[in-house]
Amino acid sequence: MDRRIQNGFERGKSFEIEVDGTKVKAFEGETIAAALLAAGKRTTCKSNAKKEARGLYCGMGVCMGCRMIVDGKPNTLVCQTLATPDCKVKTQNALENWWASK
Amino acid sequence: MKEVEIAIIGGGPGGICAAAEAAKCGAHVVLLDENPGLGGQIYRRLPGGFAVRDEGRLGKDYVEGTKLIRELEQHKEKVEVISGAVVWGVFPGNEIAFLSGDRNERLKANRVILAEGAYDRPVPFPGWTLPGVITGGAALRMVKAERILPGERLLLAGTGPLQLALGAHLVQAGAKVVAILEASSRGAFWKHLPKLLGERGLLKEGFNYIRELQRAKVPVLTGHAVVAVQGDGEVQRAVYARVDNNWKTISGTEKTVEVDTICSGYGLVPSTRLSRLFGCKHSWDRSLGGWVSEHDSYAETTIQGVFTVGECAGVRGALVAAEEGRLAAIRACQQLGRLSEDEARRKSVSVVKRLKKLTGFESALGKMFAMRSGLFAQIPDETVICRCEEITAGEIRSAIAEGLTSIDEIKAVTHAGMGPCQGRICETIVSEMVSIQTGRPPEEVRPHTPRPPVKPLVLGSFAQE
Repeated sequence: MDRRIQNGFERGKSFEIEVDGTKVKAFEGETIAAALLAAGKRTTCKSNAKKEARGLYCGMGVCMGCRMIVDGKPNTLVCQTLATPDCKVKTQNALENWWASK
Repeated sequence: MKEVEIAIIGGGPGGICAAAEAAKCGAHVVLLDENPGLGGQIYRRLPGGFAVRDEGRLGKDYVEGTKLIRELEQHKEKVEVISGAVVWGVFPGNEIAFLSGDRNERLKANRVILAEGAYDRPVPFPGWTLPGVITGGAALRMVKAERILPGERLLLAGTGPLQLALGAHLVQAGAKVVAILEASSRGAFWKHLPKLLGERGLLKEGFNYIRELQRAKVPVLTGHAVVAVQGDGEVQRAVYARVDNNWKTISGTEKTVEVDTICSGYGLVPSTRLSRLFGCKHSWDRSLGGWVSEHDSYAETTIQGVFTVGECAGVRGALVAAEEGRLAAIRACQQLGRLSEDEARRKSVSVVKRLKKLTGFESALGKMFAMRSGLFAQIPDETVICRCEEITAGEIRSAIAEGLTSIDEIKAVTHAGMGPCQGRICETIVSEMVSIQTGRPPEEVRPHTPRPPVKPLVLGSFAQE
């Protein structure tokens, strides 16, 4: 699946990022949230108390819904973070893999 | 600690214009912005590596944003832009604390211009926490700036002309928009739309959107709202229904549609975390989006030397934000001795004129699409209101029933508003719920008192300070 809109624009360099162990395509200048949406992956974390799936909501760094573990750093807002070649992104499973990610 | 003449917080139209104008008056400015690049939400840039064949395709907003950013670039030597800077606190003496990457930094500013912006008004319904429910703003950002479709089959629910723009962008890009639900009644919406678009100079763009939607056979259902969203771990279906004049569901009119994405666009809430930290006096105005910082005709708040411009001072659009930014900068420069009183007056005449013309109209827009309480009255008890701490409507209602009527009291007892978003999402909802349950007007529901840090911090960042 690739939900990128193609017409009228040319994207920059493409590279891969690793999301929960799987390779996902990303382009220079894209946020991690955008690369995930383009690949159809929408769950970013499990909520702390009820362990329910959550994803992007506000898209501007307000709601903290898109928290993921990026290169070992938990609670990273992927809507505000640019994808970089080979960055490792993990679904944040409530507080469980918080310390394990270190 | 670094000292600057003027610190501007927020890199949207208000912040950009304030910075450019202040630089023109000779002041040294630092512009702090949370986002990776300038533009704010409305003028958000395309990703760095993108090449655009024809900028006209990107619409009026993009071109306007380019113009302002170029204006700012001409004053590079006077303006330091720090992108990715998350301001988390302000302290006596106009000391501003912010996180830049992993580093904690501080600066002291003689004058402060707040251009905090606004965010999409959160409206809860069963299933609104499922991945696939996004705000209209998030959807617009994805489709316009990141050039990605947030879903394949989408339902738009909310109010106001922005929904038509979003719908048109989505169908142009090849998505299936199942319907656009407009909560306002048919009369109110279609009657005022051409006038609204016309005064904003968006008539042509607006009609293009409508034509695009008609061509794609997207129904615009006035007097309708989304009732619930369902799915196993992600959005799969939505239930929508007719609503009455107070936006309460008319039972028996529910319909279910298969969709993978809901875009919730009920207007904007002004961001006032920092103006509240500064201790500025705030007042409530539904047509401006709720609580806003009081200010004089030069955008100066009740705290001397602190200005508020753009959406955080009341939701009135990008054009107002830009002019207010300029006005605040002129005043601040006069206070700093960079301009004489005469020069300041001369410079502000044309800005004030343009501003006057814009604000009358924009506040009419606010009134037309102001929220109605029906949507909040019908939230089921088991629906989560505070997304961070997962506090339900039922828990909040019991707290209100026990006599707690301010946001701070309800927060202390239920923990709603205590999570990482620091109440930004649930505060307006809880406030509506208190108003409904107690019969008090919303302006009598005391808002939350933010304390630093207003954004989550990594403890390690203090070690490097």
